[in-house]
Amino acid sequence: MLFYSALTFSQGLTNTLLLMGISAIMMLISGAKLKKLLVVLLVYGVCGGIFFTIKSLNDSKEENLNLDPKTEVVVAAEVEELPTDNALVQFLTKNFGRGGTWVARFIRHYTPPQLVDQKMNSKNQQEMYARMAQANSNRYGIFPTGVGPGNSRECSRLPLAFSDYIYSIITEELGIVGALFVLLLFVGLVFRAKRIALQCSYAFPSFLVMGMSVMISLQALFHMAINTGVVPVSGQPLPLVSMGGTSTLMVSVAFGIMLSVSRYAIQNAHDKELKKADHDKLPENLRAENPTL
Amino acid sequence: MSKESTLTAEVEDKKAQRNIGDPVIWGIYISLVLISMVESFSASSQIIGTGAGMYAPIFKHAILLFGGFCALLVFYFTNYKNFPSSSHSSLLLPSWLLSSRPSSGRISMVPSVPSTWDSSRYNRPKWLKYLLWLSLHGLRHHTNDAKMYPIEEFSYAPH
Repeated sequence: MLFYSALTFSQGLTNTLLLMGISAIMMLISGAKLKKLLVVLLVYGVCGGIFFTIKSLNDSKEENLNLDPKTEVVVAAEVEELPTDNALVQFLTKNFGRGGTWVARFIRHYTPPQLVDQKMNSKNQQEMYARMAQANSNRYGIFPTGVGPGNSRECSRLPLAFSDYIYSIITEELGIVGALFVLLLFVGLVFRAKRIALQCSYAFPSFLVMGMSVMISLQALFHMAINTGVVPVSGQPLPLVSMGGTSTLMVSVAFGIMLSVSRYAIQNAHDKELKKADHDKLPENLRAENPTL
Repeated sequence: MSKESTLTAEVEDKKAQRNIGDPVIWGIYISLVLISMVESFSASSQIIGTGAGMYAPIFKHAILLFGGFCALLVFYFTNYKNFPSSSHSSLLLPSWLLSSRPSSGRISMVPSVPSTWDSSRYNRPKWLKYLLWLSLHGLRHHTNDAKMYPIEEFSYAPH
């Protein structure tokens, strides 16, 4: 897990954060002590920091080697366009490669001037159009139900509206009512999974169903946070809603696993005869009792 | 197999046939699929020009959703007890899917590391762990889809 997290840290920041979040939540659910959990998070941080530094230095070396005069001019022009770029951000983006870009993104996101005061350019146009789409949802100012399906104005301008920014389009077309409905679907999934987990007799199915629901919902919340500007821009699809290949398949598999647990584990938990037969048939390493009961 | 256990298995099968799973989760799944169809059709206006026609992107998305539904049914009809034994073979699915798209993939040897570390505890033959390592080494894997495996491994490992 540590090695996996460390390697993904150098590959994709948001995926790594999600993975860390899921594993931390799973440890909390399974009843890990806070002290142990903090130690694990500390190790995560140290390993991630080491890989982050190595990757950053590597990237900056590669960039220096493959320096193209034309590219340099374009990058310099784009940096000048941004009024929020202070000396620190410019230093990070120039000297620390991709790693520096991640940190610079956070600094840009949480330091004034805010998005409304900026001019639109290639770097912030996604955020701008996403905000416009959300603002457009209450165009008539009567009832916040949006402009209606198919009447979106920003879908033709917002880059990747069908995957990374579909929540903005949902907000524009279905209004705050539709946006809250989608949010409630994902939150409801966790609560339903919790209910299933509490009904399971054994630890394995209860952890499995909670893990799957947390995985789906955390990714959805991350997507919504990106769309609404709570966290910096990053590519994260909305599970099952965004257009995507393997994402759709894997989320469907996660739903299938949850349904299988609700189908087989719960019915056996209620029936004493079945529970006994089930217990005898289980392999020894799956017979651990549910710790949450 | 004794007579009693056969009878219990029959009763279990019948009960499982009647049980359709959690209705709320079914409801959430169907709602998300419906929202996905409507909103993806609306949001795909940008890529219509590059596709074969107006309905090409949504047709592709519908096929993927149908594929996802088939995958859901496979897992829905599988008893959860069989998941630990199939978790390693399930690694091959996204590896195979993404091996043809290097730009969107990640190196896949990493998720197999916890499996190989713990393999001695599950009485697997020693040669299998090397086989798993070698067969997965070099294929590409999406980190986003790989989140499922730590959950399976975590759920299984503490016991």
